[in-house]
Amino acid sequence: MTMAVTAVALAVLAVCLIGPVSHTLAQARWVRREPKAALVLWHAVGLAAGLAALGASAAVALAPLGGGLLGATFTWLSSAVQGDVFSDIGVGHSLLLIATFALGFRLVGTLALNTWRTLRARRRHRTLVDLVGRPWPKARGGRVLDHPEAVAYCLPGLTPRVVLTSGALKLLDEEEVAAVLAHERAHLEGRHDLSVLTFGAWAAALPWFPGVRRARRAVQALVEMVADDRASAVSDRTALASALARFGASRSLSTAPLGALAAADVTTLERVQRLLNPPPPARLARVGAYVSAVLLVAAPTLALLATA
Amino acid sequence: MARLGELERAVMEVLWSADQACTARDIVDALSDRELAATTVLTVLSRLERKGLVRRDRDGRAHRYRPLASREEHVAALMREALDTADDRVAALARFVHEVTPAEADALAEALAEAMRRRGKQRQQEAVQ
Repeated sequence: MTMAVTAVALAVLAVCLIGPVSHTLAQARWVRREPKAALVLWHAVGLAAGLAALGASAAVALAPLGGGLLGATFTWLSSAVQGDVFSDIGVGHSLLLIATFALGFRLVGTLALNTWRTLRARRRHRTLVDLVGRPWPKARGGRVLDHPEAVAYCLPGLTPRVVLTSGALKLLDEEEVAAVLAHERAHLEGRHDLSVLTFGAWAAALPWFPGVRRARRAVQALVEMVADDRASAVSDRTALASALARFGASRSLSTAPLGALAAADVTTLERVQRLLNPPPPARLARVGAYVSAVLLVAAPTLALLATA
Repeated sequence: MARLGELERAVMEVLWSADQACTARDIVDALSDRELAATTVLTVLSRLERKGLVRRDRDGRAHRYRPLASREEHVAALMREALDTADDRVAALARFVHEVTPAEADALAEALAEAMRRRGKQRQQEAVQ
């Protein structure tokens, strides 16, 4: 393949992934039946879109140097270290190269910044929870906060915490508490926070693309379904459903900030209904999702490596 | 570290329940069953000060410490953070349930009734077996 063909193919792939593919995947119904496979597929779509977009613009920018993308990159690097950064490729291509670097730095930089902020917020929150919360021997890292409002959440990380308010313990029966714990533990063990963090960072880095926002919302909804499924495997499914419904019904009494609703594509009600009437597994969609995920990441990688 | 964290809790308990600012000596006395050294308590106090949890004032030759916020104020702040739906907060902690509309709450009440009916049935079946 020549550089031009590679560049066009990658650009088309990037546009498809950010546009129609993410739109279709966000609307797909099978994801409720196979949330884990859908989550993997979203990661592949995100990674492939990034690779394709950066690869396409790098291929166009370095095309005048010839020798395939790897060769051209090497040629450019060796003249760049001698201080001759732009003369070999001209002004237009140089600008595109700068834009490519800028996009790459923006993606990596936003992720790094968001990670740092998140870790700091978590650490501060955990310090206070440990200080004012009662240790709760029922769960590893469990803490109870004395507050009438029913709230349950977990703080992910290397020293995770599962936090419940006394209001939540009053609201739920024993089986429901066990189900809530199993749900939160599934989040912690699956490190779902890393997926949410990464897609959140990319949505913040690229606010101009609705496809990236869709991906973030879909990932947030999918990790909840994955955690619901894992919790159902180790605790009572209907108890998890009633716990969710109780929380949801109690939460609306407090004045929830408007606009918060837009954050969740799959509502609490849908989660409850999904638990009460579990949809059958969709084996074909699951296999298709995993195969597509592998192909999506492999295709742009191979195209970049194989370009002559 | 676990022990230090536990000591911080204990020292904060003393400060929260005291009517006035405490000296390190007061805290050693209040926690006398632990037989702490004054230097240990001072270490814990300086950690708490660094974390922005206590304030130190000079009183003659001694320092007096008092909590910057009550336990209830800290809990309220944690609740605000836990219920905050800003995007950077969503990543920091994972909440069990997000906000619902009043219409959804009604539907959830119905779903709850259904779930409880099924759980009742489950229990009956288990009792029969």
